[in-house]
Amino acid sequence: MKRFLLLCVVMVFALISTSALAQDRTVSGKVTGSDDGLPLPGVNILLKGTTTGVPTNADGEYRISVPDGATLIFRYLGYVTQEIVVGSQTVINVSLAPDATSLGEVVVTGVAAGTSTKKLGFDVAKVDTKVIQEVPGVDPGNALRGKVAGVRITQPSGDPGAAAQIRIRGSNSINGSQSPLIIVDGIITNGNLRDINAEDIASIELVKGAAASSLYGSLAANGVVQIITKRGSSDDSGIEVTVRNEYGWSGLVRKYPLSNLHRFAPFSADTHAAGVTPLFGFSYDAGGNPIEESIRDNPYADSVQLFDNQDRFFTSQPFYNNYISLGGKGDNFNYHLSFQNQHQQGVIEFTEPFERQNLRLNMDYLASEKFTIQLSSSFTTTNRQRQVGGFRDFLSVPPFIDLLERDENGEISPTPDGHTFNEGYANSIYELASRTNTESRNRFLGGITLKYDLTDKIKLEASTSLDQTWREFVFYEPKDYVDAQNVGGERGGFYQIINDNRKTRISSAQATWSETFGKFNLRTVLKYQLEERDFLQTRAEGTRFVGAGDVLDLASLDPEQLFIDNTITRDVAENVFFDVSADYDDKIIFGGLIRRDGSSLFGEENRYVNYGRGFLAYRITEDVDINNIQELKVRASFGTSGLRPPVFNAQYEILNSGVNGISKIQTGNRELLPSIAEELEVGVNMDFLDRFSFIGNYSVTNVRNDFINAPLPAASGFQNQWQNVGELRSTALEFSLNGTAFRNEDMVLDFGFNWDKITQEITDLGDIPAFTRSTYFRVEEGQPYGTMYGQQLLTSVDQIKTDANGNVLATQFRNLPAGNWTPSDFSVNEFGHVVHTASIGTAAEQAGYIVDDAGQLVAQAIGDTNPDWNIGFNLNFAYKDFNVYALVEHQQGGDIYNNTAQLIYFEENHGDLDTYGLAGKHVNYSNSASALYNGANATSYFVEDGTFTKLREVAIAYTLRGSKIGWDWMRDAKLAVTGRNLFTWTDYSGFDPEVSLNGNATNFRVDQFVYPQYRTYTVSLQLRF
Amino acid sequence: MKPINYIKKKTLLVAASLLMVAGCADLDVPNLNQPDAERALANPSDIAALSQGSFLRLINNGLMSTRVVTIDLITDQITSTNAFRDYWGSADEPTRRLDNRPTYADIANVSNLWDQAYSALSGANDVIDAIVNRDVVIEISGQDDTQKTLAAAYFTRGLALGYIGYVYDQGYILDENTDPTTIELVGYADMIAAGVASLEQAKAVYQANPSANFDYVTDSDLSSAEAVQLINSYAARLMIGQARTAAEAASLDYSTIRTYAQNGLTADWNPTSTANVSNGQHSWNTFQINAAGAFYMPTDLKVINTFDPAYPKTYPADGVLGEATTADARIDDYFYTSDFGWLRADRNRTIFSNYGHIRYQQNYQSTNAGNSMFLFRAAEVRLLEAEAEFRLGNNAAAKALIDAGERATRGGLAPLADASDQTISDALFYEYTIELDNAGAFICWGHNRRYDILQRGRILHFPVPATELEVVGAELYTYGGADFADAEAGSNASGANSWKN
Repeated sequence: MKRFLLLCVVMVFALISTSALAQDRTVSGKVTGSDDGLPLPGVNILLKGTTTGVPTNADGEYRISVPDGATLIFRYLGYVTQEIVVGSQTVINVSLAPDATSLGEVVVTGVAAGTSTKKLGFDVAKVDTKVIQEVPGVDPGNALRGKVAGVRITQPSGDPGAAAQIRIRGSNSINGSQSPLIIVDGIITNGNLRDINAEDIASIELVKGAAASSLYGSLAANGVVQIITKRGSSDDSGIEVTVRNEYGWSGLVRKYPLSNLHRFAPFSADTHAAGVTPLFGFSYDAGGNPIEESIRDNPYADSVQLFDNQDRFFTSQPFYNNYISLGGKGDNFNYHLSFQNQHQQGVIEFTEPFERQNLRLNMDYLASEKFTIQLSSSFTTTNRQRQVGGFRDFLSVPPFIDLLERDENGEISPTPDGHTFNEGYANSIYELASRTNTESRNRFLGGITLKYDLTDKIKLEASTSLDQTWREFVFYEPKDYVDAQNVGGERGGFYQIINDNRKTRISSAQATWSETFGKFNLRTVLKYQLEERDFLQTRAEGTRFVGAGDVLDLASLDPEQLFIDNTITRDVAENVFFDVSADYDDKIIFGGLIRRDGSSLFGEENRYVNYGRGFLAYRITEDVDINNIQELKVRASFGTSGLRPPVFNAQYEILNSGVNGISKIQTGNRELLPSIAEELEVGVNMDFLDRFSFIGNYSVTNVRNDFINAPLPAASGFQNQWQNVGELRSTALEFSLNGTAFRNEDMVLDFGFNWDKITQEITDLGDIPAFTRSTYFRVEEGQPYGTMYGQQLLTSVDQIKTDANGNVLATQFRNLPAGNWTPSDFSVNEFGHVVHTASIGTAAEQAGYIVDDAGQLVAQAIGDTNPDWNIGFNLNFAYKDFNVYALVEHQQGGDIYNNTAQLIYFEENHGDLDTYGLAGKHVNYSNSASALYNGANATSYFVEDGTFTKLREVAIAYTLRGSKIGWDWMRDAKLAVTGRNLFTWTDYSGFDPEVSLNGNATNFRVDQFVYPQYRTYTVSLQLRF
Repeated sequence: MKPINYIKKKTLLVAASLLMVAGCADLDVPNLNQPDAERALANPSDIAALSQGSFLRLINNGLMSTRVVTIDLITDQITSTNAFRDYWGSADEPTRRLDNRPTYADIANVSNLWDQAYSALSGANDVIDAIVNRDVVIEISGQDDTQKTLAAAYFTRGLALGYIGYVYDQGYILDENTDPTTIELVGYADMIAAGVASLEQAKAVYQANPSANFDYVTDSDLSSAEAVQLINSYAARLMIGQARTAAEAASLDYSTIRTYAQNGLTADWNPTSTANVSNGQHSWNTFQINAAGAFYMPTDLKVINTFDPAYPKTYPADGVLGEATTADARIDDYFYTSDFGWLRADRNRTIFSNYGHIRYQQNYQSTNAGNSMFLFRAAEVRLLEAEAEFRLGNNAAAKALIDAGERATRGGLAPLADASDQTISDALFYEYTIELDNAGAFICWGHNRRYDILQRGRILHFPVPATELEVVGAELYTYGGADFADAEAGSNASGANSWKN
């Protein structure tokens, strides 16, 4: 009903505005580029001698009424202008030749309709298929690595089923999502790029800042990534078939430094108590405990068999990718049909592999000259292991325990020899082998767009899309599962099923009016969009199987232990925008946009909010000739976009209702607003020496009305309220240089280079006091967002605090011997720690921490996860039919909190403990009671510099053209050897410096027992027919 | 036509259409997952659910939360060297200062009861407001439950205010007519007085309505008379719990306390646990971590030394202590093991122990449901009565009560040698330490405080939690630490009569 209404309005508008010049004849046709045959939108077609003109639409088509003997001028920047005399034809198709080597590419993201990059007033990055397909990423997120300045792609864990996290420029929210809006072929999706395969990608466009993303209003303060998939073959030669198969394997890149020494008395008849079995080469006392020594410097006895459990846990596993596609083109249609199958086992044998099958069908059908129907659809099925745990156990287990030990039935043993040593360990491999914990997902993503050319200048469009995901999670632990650390206390099995369904339906209607007035080109767009999102989840779980316990039936669980729950959420949004883009003589470009967003997620008092932008650009080279510079454009834009409240129930008053009755939880907020990000972006585009192109951007973004779940005073009875408090400021400086380094008959070297520096800071928290998130991260006014807080080790004697009498405050050093000490009694030891000099080498030697004047340990900034700057560099060297492609990324700075190392210190299994032992330090210096371990609290000792250089992608390929060997039916065959994530150069001591927490992957860089990153080598063969 | 006019015309039309088109969708979407207050308070059956939810929030999430073990460590009923929840920090000797700052990772040790009690208090006040001020009638399945719901709400309020006064040095008093923006912090004596007053209101309603039962906690269903007994028991416990030191204890109103105790429970209040309501103190303090029987929270030497005065009060630097020798049969409530479990010698061997409490161990290894929770033991009521008599100078009556109690029936011990002050005082300590071990949150702490038995520097009450201080913009402060015992005399134990001496 609403859409019909809108259509009526638009048509009325259109009818009124039709100009009323009486004309004689109608000429129509299509304008394409002579280099690639693709349609050119926005080409100016002028009737010579008049100011009358029409532009081509997004499909390159035009219609113009001409008198007899007229001449039409076809003009398009970047192409050679053509003049054509109209004879008796009614259809004139024109092929324009490019004017300069760097083409005016067309982008469709961030702008109301297709626009040439030369006419953009802000930066929209475009990554095209050539660069993506050299080493197709496992998903589009990975495919973007290192290719665009100002974009952070992080894989927080190596889990094969986990999607890469993307953050564009600085963070725009403290609590909300950092991820950009994901659009596929114009369809606004739920997110999750893991379901889309890279081989289908024709190009990826990225809109970075609020000014550019203003078009999307409150959906897009974090930027927009649009994936454009292939739509058919690139020329008129009928059907194009592509078959690509890739096979390889994955392996671990680096291992964790674990301990190889121990601190127990080696077995000797003199010290060992009779009657006790001496295991692992130690001497034991009468109580059956190994005799402890005070320094950890004893190697294991030769008779003790040692196992490298990292090697046993992480093994090389297969990876393969099969792809087939059909692309075709006829007179009035084109289509792309493809199927892909991907299998990624990762580096752990005992988990379910990540498997994905993806079917895509894109079709464009020209029902008539004026009417086009476009369909984009895909269906994806995935299956993966959910939440692989157990990484702590295998890193904590001493080397004499064999995690692959099998029991008498040939099954992995839950209690391998020695597992009761110390406090007992669980066998991670047994856990993985015995339990089932999987997620399976089906996703349909599809949209239909209808386009109708009402007149030459007015085009109408209506579309509808659906993104629906069905998921099922199953967790099953058998009844006889042995919990090695709690023998006798097992829960008798566990079974959990979760089913959910997430649906996003979007419908829109749009009218575009393009007009040329002499040298002015004008395009206005009016669009209305309705969004509906629904989510329904049901969950059932229980323990204690009755009977044999093999039956996967909820009814066979103990009814007292059954837990059933469901969640229903829904949100509705509608928005309208009006966009104007104009230019004067292709050289002064300006425009603006206003948008009104309404969402059911906003508070009742504030359902509708406005956004907007304005931009201005000047193409200097149109007026000024500069030697060797083909194109120089300066631009500035200012705009706003926002983020919606991060949780469904943020605005509601909530009481908890359940088995225990009702209790108060959250106060509602009827005035809850979306956040607003305001950005000013200035930039330069320069093409020079006929082969290079440079882009530089500087952007400043201020975010206000961010969302914080504010704690309330106890007397209110409620615990918290979501409030619009919080302001952030971020800046981004980006440089990109792309081009051809050299080219001759046989060789060409292309490269792309990106550099960026991003800063972000929390500028205001209102009345909310500073707080800590995820244990380490400090949210405080005036601090960078990404600051880590904890206790700071003393690094110099000058930092020691004394009381009024000059005596050192005892709280600075654990185990400090009793007495009155002065700072001269302390010194810096060989590890850079300040210690009590007389205690060196004894049980009392401990590093010290900074305290305040009252002697209380101070929590202060100990690190910052923000890098200093980042570089991405790719090159493609081609020699005849060979080519070599490589992508390197470098991150400078950016701290990581190595909590994995901290917890392995606690388990007394870290390699550093051997270093301290060999240096003669008492075990107390670095064990679980030590100042270094700091009782599991945040300490500067475990903050490490995350600087790294990574060779991300390498491909060596040979392409054989079918015509070369007389096989004309084959277009080409490409054989390639590729590697992903091959080498990492870093000082970081953990598995991989790209580690972080999934919830906020680019900011919360904590290493906490995640699935490590791995490298993948493959061989692939691609045939095209 | 001139382009400029053309553009103006278009703009006007566009603006008009914008206005027309926006506002078509219905953006009012309800939250189907949780109710809001309007829904909860309009519907009488939901007001009853709010009343029950508030009581359970205080009892289950507050008093039976696993967070209460922090005080058991401070009271030396249990011991630990785990850094988890800063257990070692609470158990360590000499006593450490409490870190009451928002940056303290385990601030929930201090704030959990505060948050739960005030949430419960708010709910209870809403119920009272609905019934008293707005005359809402609660009718469920044809039965008028209005008085029953009101009495339970007064009960909840009384306990919430009383426990804040019992555990913290200050608090806010709120009733159904208080304007939350005008409240100020008041001292613990006032808190307890307000709590007891509300308990009296509850009693009045129960006594006036013999059909009003109390069935909010799992399978327990107390008649109005039994509910009154329960309330009297809590009143006695809270009133006597006001005293932080022996000096303060000398001036309490023991006559009233005795009356409450005499009209208190005659049998244990013992509901059965479910998956959602269970005794966290029991489940953690009786949990065994390995096949050798080592405990997650071993029993402190203070308890074993109470059984057997020859047993060391400080664990030796090496070797393993053997079993204790005692005539008290209740030693069988404890399990001896030579395995130290997770106790780490490099942290503090002097607080080690080889014992653990198994009296309440039922199904805690694998499930929380189906266990006896023992929320209020009759034994404690008898001891409260005995202590009141003792303080009133009636030593003979006190001795009689103690002799007739679990000392004899479960411990098999002979009657006390005499009725001297020292003997009675020691016997009370003995019974609290052994009979009431794990019998409920803060019980032994409350007793030890009022006899100066705690080690030097142990806190006598929590400060207002830092999370609250920060939210209201007040200055942070804290207590505890052997070095601060003299400076903060009413809040830190002096150790004058410490069990370790």
